Amino acid sequence: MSKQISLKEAVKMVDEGSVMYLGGLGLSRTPMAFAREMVRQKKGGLHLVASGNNFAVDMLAAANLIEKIESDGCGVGFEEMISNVNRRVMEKSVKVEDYSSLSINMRLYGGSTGVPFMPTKSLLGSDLEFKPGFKGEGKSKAVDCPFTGEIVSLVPSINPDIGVIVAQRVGEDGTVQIDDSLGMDLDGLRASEIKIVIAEEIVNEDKIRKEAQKNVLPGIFVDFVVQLSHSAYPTALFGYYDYDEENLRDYLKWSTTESGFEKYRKKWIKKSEADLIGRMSPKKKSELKADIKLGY
Amino acid sequence: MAKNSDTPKYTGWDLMIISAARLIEDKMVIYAGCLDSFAAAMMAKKMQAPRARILYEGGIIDSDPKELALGLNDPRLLYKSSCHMDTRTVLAQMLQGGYVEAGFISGNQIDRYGNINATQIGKYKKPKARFENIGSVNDVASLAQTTVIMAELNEETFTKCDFITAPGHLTGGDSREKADIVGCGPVFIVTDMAIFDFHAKNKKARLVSIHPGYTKKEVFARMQWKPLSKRKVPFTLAPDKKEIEVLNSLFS
Repeated sequence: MSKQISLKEAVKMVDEGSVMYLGGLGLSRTPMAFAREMVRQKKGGLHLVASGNNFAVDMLAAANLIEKIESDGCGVGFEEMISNVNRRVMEKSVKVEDYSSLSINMRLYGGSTGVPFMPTKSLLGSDLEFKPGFKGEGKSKAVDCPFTGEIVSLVPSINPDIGVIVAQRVGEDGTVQIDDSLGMDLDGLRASEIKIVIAEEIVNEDKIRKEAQKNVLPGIFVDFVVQLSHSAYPTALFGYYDYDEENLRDYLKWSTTESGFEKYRKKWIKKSEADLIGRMSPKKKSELKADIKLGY
Repeated sequence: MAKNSDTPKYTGWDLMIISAARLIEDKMVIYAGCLDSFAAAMMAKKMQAPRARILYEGGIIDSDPKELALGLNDPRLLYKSSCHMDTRTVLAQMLQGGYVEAGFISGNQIDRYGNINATQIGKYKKPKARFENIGSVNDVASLAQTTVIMAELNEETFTKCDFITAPGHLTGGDSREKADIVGCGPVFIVTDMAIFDFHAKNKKARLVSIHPGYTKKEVFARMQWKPLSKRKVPFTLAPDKKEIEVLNSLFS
């Protein structure tokens, strides 16, 4: 049976209260088209477990769709950062649990390997350890290692309901090729119950297996694939397109108020990907197109 | 800035980047954990540390960017990296595993022991304001062999921490060791007006040098805690022509 579905079908799987992992980081490979479709379908009450430095995550906060977030801090941008997650925390519409990058990654790693927790030497001695948020005692536990006696922090494993990542290419059977740095995506996806990969290209499975050395994840770990052009836009997809500063600067300028976000939605989210990406001017497409040697 | 006719023009911010860059030795393994450190790392590789191995958030390993990256996980950062790996390799095996000799980080509140607040002010469940920050600041502060803190000097930043996101020397003395935190903690705070290190025993921040054109009084006026300081504090070495040329070339 084919694993291929449409973007709309992928987003339909998100329920109110779904615990979600969204991949990517900062200016690269974030599932922006997926987040845009979530805004269009008004998928609210979300519980996110992800890097807080993620435009897709921030946009869901701007659209007021997040109820809870467990992340490694908040902030998107360049030169100056903004955070709609922080804005919603201050408005009391989002509950936050602040971890660190390593501890969030270890939670997803633990979730992906079927054990209930993972140890780390991060968090110790800080208020990330001593002052938990909504998870209270369940956030982390400093214990004496039963073998060495040293103190380690244990962080609970997590299995998101849905994990979504963007890849450059994916085979019909779900074999994944990612050309740039992987972030937490392999752990985040493998920890999730429903695993969705959105790729610029869907490749014939026989062909992709002839390049097994380029493959980062077998299809065993992938439930659904979506073929979509510019699904990380306005963030970058290494080897395919660079980030769009015009779009991102509008986002940084407008997204932090309701009326501003409405402006952003009309210009840069629109009614569908076909409206936004399908109608992108050839000039912009060519400006953003990555140089083969540089990847951006 | 006071300068003689031989040295080119520069700002305090320029000298902050240059001072941080000077700390990087050739072949050192460095984690660039704040945006200002991206420029410092690039500078160091063009100057005295061409073989310094720079790690960036997201799994970017030992790269040599051609252009200054605009932000986190910019594809420009990948240029000439040895591997496109994952976050866990960089933060667990490399950072937690003890390979990172110096991590460069920043924060919104920095206290006299180099503890950093990058989370919020006010009580945790009733914040007065929340900060934007880069997610690995606790990891770097906890796990790098040493850390270098980069920040612009002002009263809002150089103050007691409402919340300790990233541990420095905690409450001084051997308190960091007692908490079983792995790395040695902060060794320098590099700012746009002065440079600080930490007293070997009590771990309080200590004024090491003042950038040319500033006075001790002006430095202290920008801080809510008073660092240890000798009566006479030397000037930070002014940038030479080459350093300014290289720095400017990053932004052209």
